Amino acid sequence: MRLNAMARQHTVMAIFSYPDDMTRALKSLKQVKIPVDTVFSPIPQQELHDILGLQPSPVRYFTLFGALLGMVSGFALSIYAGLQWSFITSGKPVIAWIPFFVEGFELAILAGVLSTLLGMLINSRMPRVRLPAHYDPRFTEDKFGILVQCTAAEQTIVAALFKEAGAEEIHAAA
Amino acid sequence: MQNLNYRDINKEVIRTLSPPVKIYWFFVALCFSGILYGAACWAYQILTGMGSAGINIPVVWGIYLVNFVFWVGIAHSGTLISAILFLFRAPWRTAIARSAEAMTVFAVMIAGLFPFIHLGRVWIFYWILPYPNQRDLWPNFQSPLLFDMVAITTYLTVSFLFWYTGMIPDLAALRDHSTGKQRKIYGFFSLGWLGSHHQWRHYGTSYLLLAALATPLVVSVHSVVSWDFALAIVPGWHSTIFAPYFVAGAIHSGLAMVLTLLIPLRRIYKFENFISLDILENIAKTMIFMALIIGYSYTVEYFMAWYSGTMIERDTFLWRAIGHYAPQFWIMVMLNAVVPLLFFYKKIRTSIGWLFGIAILVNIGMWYERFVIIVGSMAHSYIPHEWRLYRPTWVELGIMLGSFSIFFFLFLLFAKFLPSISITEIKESLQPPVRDRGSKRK
Amino acid sequence: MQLPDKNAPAILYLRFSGSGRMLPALCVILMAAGGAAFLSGIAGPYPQAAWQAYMVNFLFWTGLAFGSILFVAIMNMTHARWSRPIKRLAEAPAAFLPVLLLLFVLMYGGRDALFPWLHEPAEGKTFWLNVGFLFVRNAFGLLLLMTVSLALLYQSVRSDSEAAAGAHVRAPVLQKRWRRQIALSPALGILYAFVLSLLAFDFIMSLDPHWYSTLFGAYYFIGSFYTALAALVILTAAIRSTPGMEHYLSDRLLHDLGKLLFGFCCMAGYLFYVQFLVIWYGNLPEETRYIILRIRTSPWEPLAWAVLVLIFIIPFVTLLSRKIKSRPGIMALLGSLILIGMWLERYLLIAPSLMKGRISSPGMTEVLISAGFLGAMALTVILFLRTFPLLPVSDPLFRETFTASPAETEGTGP
Repeated sequence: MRLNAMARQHTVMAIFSYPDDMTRALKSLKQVKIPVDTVFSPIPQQELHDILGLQPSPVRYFTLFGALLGMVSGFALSIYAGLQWSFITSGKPVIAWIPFFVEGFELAILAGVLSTLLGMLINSRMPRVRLPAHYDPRFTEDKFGILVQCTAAEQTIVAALFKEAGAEEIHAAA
Repeated sequence: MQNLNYRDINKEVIRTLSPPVKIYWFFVALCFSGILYGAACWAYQILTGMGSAGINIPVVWGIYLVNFVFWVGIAHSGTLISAILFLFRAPWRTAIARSAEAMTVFAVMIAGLFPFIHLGRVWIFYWILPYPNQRDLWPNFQSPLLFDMVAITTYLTVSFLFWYTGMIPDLAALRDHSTGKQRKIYGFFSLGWLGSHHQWRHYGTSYLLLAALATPLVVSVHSVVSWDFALAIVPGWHSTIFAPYFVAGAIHSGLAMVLTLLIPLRRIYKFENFISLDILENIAKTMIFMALIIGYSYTVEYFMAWYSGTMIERDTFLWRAIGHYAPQFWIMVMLNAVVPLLFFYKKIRTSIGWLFGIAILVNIGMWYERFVIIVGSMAHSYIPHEWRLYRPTWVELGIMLGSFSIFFFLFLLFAKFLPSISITEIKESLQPPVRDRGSKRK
Repeated sequence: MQLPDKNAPAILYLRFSGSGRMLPALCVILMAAGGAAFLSGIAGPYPQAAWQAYMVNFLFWTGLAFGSILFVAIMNMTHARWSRPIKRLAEAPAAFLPVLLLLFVLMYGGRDALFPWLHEPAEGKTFWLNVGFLFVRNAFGLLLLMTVSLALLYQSVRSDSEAAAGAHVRAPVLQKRWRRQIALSPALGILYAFVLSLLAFDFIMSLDPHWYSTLFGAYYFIGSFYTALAALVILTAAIRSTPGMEHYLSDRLLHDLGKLLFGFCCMAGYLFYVQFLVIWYGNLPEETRYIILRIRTSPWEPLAWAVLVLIFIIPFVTLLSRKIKSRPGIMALLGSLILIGMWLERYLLIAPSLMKGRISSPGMTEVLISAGFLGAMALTVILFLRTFPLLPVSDPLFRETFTASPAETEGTGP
């Protein structure tokens, strides 16, 4: 694996105007078994999940964990406060799940949201201070991009492949 | 809108962020002076005490609480449109979601101010927070006021994060389009968004989860606010229907405010092709539904007051209709439950003038509904010799004016410095660009 | 049966094969058992048990039937497309409404056993709680709501039958029928809320005349809609095996139906909690008495727990999973559990107020009488689905979404 990573030092970036061109290129790359580093697009592309074999995002586990933690914390905080300062109002029991459920529920949502975002940032490696060198600002406008890491030999194959699929620009770098 | 391409979308939205015309600054200044006036009134109240407000025994909650409930209510539509319609995959949500979310964030912020204003001794606000202290005191988590604290804090945080997260790809678009200092600022706030498939994968799931979490939150927050009243045993307040009734009312007033904001916005920015008449019509139809729920609630409350057989309930509801606050009551009933039913007529719900007019009327009606419920019930409660009327003073009205000024001030800033339509989501709603067979590209 | 256009949907009818053919006979057996149990019950020493079971069933099945046709009305009002293939399945329970109206009239015979305020008039409320006015206003409400429901049903079914017989899909008569369906839908929605609230106030809430809750009507009609959705899930899972239907009753549709069921599970839980919190917090004896009886005393306490588990906990946890929502067998089982839970919930609301002397848990009387009602409803649904096309072939939104081209069929006949 490490040998592969060291060998695949060359990059080829292709810019497309049409998502189906890009999809075609990705399928061809899959056939020649050259791994794709990144696909850039102005909007999410559902087809990529199948083509690139993407698994569902693990962010939902962050959410579940956060929500459970929040629910427990809401109850725990309310119960603790009730035990510490047992202020009996209207004869209600000091520890009562019925009103405490509100705190549990709200904190579950709050913790769920915060952990979802944390999960998203961690998994996406965001925030990043500097944009990568090969990033093209038109990707947030109307252009799609495919970045491939390959060996020097593969570069020509990849470039030809992109050209056939309809890439507008192809940038190769060492 | 269907014949626009992606580049056009970027252009259309980004041009609204160009340096504003002079009249914009005039309105900003007008709102700002409203804020200053409101702040001055508040300062006066802090200096002279709560007596400068009109609240008394037994009407211990006046228009500060009315405004609190009013602004929380307005916030709810934003999340409804943004989160709930997202889960329902409703196509008419796309063009209005961003502005509606912004409206939510600003409305919640303003709502959160009112408990502080009502507190009097603002500097001890932190006593409501649970923290270890020398006297071993802890807040009472069974109290609806604590429910409020937790719920409003959560709602403010979540609605802000939901709004912000939705904007990340758009902020990246602005970053890529701008230069210099602007680029740095947008770049900072877009968190290094690249549009890579790794990022989109996690972003898509996260946004869906946020929407799924925000939906029950919306219902719970206004239910919590309704419990400030329903958990008391004041006649006219202690009613099991309050939670869904208030949520429906919140959505009703929120949709009215959405119309109030979007109709001028689309005219000024020439967004008619994005915020089409169909979308406004759908908002109007949803308002019919809310008006019917509210009409149902009014009917059931009156029936149950009679059915209960208790003199106090019957008298409270009778007094609402014919007592001192009867004009406010009838304004409430007519403007909330009857007037929006005009939207059953297609001509009315597709006319900009009628849409805007009815929206303003519903805003007024919903404000009066909170007034009738809060003030009307306390003014005429169990003990006749305690019955007393309430009138807001200039201080309270000044602060209320300040709150509206903050709202419009913030919304004006939002409309000028941030994309008021979601660039990315509009692009998603279009057909993807296809190469023309053989000849020229689009 | 296929319309000449290849892209048009097939005209399918419910047909049984193999052991399925026994179903109508089974339904008749259940009806007979229920009828026998009921008659022997009212002739026996404790007629109240039989009448009580009758009323619980009446309220349960009426709510289900109206809730089901409400689903169609909502579909029309929101211009929903995803649910068009199950339109006929949602209309089916509403065919039982005329029978239910008849059963309602017969319930007058049980008034001595059913209404405590008949013998101990509630002070100050005798204007409202007297048996004559009560039956007249509810009969009127039921008749009105039933008329609108059956009108909606009729327009839809007639339209599809005419299309199946070869009417052109853009023919004026079909367009007229579609417009009428659109016009009737909001009327149905509004009447549903008011009539079912009235039913709940008069037949459930009044059993404890000094107790009241403003949310009670909404609690009943939302709960009824929840039962209707559960029934729809069961029907969808069952009909899926009819040849030709699997293409329309796709995994996606099941998944969406599951999400809707989840939403209403949360809604039912929310409405329960909202009532419960307000009553618990106010701690007013005239309100809490009703709740304490049902959740703290025996034999009602275990029943209350069973209801919570069946209506809320099991569906909530199960429907969180994406995979389960696409499995028809499990969804049908879940739907059945929800129906049982909701039936027990109605029982829990009614029985403790009526059973003053002799308290017993639900037993054979309840099971048999319920089986009778179930048999009658099931038979009606089967006959309905056998007679009319399973798919809403003339529904414009169905045609737009589920045929390759919005075909203009020059039908020459089935």
